[in-house]
Formats: sequence, structure tokens, C-alpha cells
Amino acid sequence: MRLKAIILNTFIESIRDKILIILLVIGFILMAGSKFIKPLALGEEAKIIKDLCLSAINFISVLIAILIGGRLIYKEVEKRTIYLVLSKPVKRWEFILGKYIGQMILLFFVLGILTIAFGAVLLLTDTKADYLILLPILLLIFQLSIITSLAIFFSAFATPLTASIFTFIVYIIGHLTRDLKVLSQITKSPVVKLIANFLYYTLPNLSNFDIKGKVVHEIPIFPSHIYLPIIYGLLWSFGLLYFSFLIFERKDF
Amino acid sequence: MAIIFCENLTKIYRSGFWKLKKVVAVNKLSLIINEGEIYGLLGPNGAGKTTTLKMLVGLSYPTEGKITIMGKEPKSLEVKRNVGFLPEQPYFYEYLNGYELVYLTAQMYGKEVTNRKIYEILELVGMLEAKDTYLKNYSRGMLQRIGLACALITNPKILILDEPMGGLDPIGRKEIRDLILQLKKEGKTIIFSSHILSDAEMLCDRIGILIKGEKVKEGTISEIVGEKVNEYEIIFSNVAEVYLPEIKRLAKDLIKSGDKLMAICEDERKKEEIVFLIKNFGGTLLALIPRRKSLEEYFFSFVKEKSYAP
Ligand SMILES: Nc1ncnc2c1ncn2[C@@H]1O[C@H](COP(=O)(O)OP(=O)(O)OP(=O)(O)O)[C@@H](O)[C@H]1O
Ligand SMILES: [Mg+2]
Repeated sequence: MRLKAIILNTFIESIRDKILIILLVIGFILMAGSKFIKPLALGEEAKIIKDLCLSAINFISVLIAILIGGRLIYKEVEKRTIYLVLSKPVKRWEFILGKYIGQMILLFFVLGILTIAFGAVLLLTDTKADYLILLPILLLIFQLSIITSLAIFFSAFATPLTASIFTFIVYIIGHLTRDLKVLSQITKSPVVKLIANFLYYTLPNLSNFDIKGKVVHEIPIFPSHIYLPIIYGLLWSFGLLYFSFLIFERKDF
Repeated sequence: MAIIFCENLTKIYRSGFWKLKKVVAVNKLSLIINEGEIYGLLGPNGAGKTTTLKMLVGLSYPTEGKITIMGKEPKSLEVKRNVGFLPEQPYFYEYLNGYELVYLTAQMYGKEVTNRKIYEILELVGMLEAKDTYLKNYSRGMLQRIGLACALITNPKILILDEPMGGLDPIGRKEIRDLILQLKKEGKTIIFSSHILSDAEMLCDRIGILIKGEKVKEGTISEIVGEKVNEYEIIFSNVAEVYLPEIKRLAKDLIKSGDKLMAICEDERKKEEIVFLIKNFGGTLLALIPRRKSLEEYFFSFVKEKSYAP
């Protein structure tokens, strides 16, 4: 019940926030706009619609995860509302976990709405799609889980803006990890090599979560393309939350 | 029976970029709070009151020393379930309304409360009417009241209130005072901080005066007031110069102004002696003014005396 209170509170805070509505509306506009993009080649229209809608879902939900996630913890510290929570019989890890779950519920909610909108676009444009089209969204959930945990981790000690920027940077680099590996192999400078390797091995690899291209272009997908990223996502989230908790437990307010 | 023990409590904050600057916010503070009493923690700004209370509710960890509440450490859930806390200048979730805040607070205690109970508490602190208003639209005094409602919702044994009367108008202060007294009657242990001594004068069984993190004085109001506070101003004239040293010996201070003289003394017996001497020396007694130093003044003089002033 204590956990529930924190989860509920986190969820209410975000759902009553204007930024959420604004981002959702932008998402709808992007998706609706996909219909008006003229295909370069005949018969590509369906692919473009699917690709753009999935990209919009990805873009909006990641943005929400980064922007709202970045202030999850810090705002409570800054506004001292954390006094209300931690003076209650609430364990500090319950606070972190409650924040994480509350944010994930919000993201489920966001994904739900965007997916329904996606379905509506598919129907209205008479575009055929099978259930495989949902796989990128499934993996997106686990990617969002890593992003949320990252945001919580950073916001345990950085300001909301800094936490959001850090999270964003890790997100970008996370999608470039393959390039990092290549870079470390071809570079001649030992410093660049060291940095590229360091980033490659320390930051989460997010590019594996992106199977949108495969789905849209009907490239075969193996089960390992699904369950490996899921396990990877869970491990990273758990690890980051655990470290956030360690930082938090020793913190003084 | 003691319910809260603090032993040699010390809190050192490190501030500045390299964390090199040390601030001793609380210095070797020992406190014993008895069950059912109202204890006032008094002191000027920056004395370490908030820091002490935050350590009591487990928001902050002591650098040294030990706190035991009901035989356990403050962090234990068992203790926290029995403690209601009102933070200083309460900040709340501004996107919630009054009702929701109290409801969520009860949930954080892990207690399911009925609607009736929530309404009762809101009524008690005079916030029933504003229950549907978002907290961002509350005034400072309203926040204080809703904060008290949160501290009271689970009917805890111990109340720790940081400046409960802060931001309230005189009527509000009185209402909160009455509420605190009523809570004491219900058998609660209450520890609160304030720098407004008149509030403490009317409420506390005992007070502790904290200055620069150290407890410089502790006792019942009358103990502290009685020790030093009764002062007499004796104004007289027509006493020959040669006799003055004798009066000065008895008085704490002898001030000359024009042809009048004022002797200040601190106890009843000396006052009688001085009056007797004045008459004996053929002087004229012009006025005898008992001055009951208010706690406020006492406090101020104490700070000055010990050159504790910041
Ligand atoms: N988080 C912190 N970091 C560094 N110094 C701090 C911190 N919190 C408090 N202090 C310092 O500790 C000292 C005691 O502060 P505290 O807030 O306990 O005083 P107070 O008695 O509550 O004062 P007030 O009447 O103004 O509320 C002050 O010198 C303050 O600057
Ligand atoms: Mg204070």
C-alpha cells in the first residue's frame, strides 16, 4: 500500500502535467501527417506510413521518458516534498521503486494511446498490417525502462535539466554503439580508441531494441531478436535502479 | 517515562564546491523527551532546530551520537508508524488537492482510512472547505494546516512539528495552540520548534534553548524564567553621593540620569534592602517597577551575554 501511494502519486503528477498533453498531440499530428507524404515509389505507401507512425511513437515516448523522468526524484528533493515521504514508514528503496513503477505505468498509458492512434491511422488509410507490427512497440517498452532507470539514476544527484541531458546523451550514444565499435577499430589515435571502447563497454546498447526497420521491410525476425533485448533491458534497469538506491540510501536531506 | 533519547547528537554539514567548509549544525546535543509532554526546541535562526528534528524523523543521519525513539532507531518502520511530522514551511505536491494529500499520506503510513476520518481531520484543522482546492492555490497558513492534518491522520503517538505556528495570523496561532494542547490531553508526546517564545511560554512543559547547535539551557518555563527573569527597576533621587556605593553593591546596575537614579536588581530580597537603604539615607523613592523579563528578552540577553549572536 505504501508502494501504491508512491506509484499513484507519481502517476498523478505526470498525468496532470501539461507537457504530457502537448507531447501526445504532437505525436498525433506526426502520425496523421504520415498519410500526406508522397511515396517515392509505387506501393511503398504502406511502408512509409508504418515507418513514420512507429518512429513517432518511439520519438514521443522516449521524449516523455526523458523529460518527465529527469525530474522524478530531483523535483521532490528540490521542492522538499521528499520530507513528506521519507518521514513516513516508507523505505528509501520503496520510494525509488515506486517512482520507477509510476513512470512505467505512465509510459504504458502513453504507448497505449499512441498505439490506438496508430491503429486508427492504419484503418483510415486502409493499410494492411499483421500482429508483427506490435513487436517494435513491445521492445520499446524495455528500452523505455532503461531510459527511465537512467533518468532516475541521474536525477538522484543531478538537476532535472542535467539529468534529462545526460539521459538524452546516453540514449543517443546507446543507439550509436555499433558505430563506436567500428570507430575503435579503425581509429589510429589511442585516445579516441580508449574513449570509444570505454563508451562501448559501459553504456547500454540500445540499437538492439530497434527492430522497426526489420518489421516494416518484412525481414525475418528470430525469437532471439526479441527475448535477448528484453533480458538485456531488464538487467540494465535493475542494475541502474540498484545503484540509484545505493546513492539514495546514504543521502542526507 | 522517557520516549525519545538523543545522546551526544552531532551533525556536521560540509558545504562548498570541494566540501571543505564545515558547518557544525548540531553540537553534542543530548535530549530526553518524556512521554506525554510538550517539549519546545527554541533558538534563533540557524540554531540547528530543523536539523535536529530532521534527524529525529530519519531524514538526515547524525554525524555522531545516537537517537533512540521508543527503544529503536528513527529509521525503523515501527518508529515511523508512530511519528507524525510537520516539516518547516511545508512544501506539498501542488498538483494534488487537500483531500488527496491527506489520503495519500495515510496510504504512505500503510493505513487505509475512511473518508469520514479524513473529513474529521480536515475539520479539526479548519481545512474542510478547501479540500477540493489544489495545493498550489493554498496560502502559507493553509499549507501549515493541511500539513498538520497529514501529521495527525494516522493518530500517531509522537508529533514532531517544525515551526507549527509559522506563517499564521494571531487567530491561527491561537487555534493551533489550542489544537496542540488538546493533542496533549489525548496523551501525545509533542516536540516542536519555534523562535517565537511566547508560543512556547503558553504551551510547553519544558523547553530547551539551542544556540549555534548547542543546548545552552533546559527546563520548565518557570525554572528558566524564575532564575533570572524577575527584575526590578527602582527609581529614586536625593541620596547623597557617598551612600551610592552601598546601593550599587546590592544592585545589578545603577544608572544615573539627570538628578534621578535607577537601580536594577534581580531578586526580591535585594529590592527590599535597596528600598530600605534609600529611605534610611533620606532619599525619595520615585518608582518601583517590577519587570518580568519575557522569555524573549531573556533569550536575547542570553545570546548577547554569551556573544553567541551571529
Ligand atoms: N543541507 C545543509 N547543508 C549545509 N548546511 C546546512 C544544511 N542545512 C542546514 N545547514 C546549516 O546548519 C545550521 C542550522 O540550520 P537549521 O536549519 O537546523 O537551523 P534552524 O534552527 O532550523 O533555523 P530557522 O529558525 O531559521 O529555521 C545553519 O547554519 C545552516 O546554514
Ligand atoms: Mg528551522
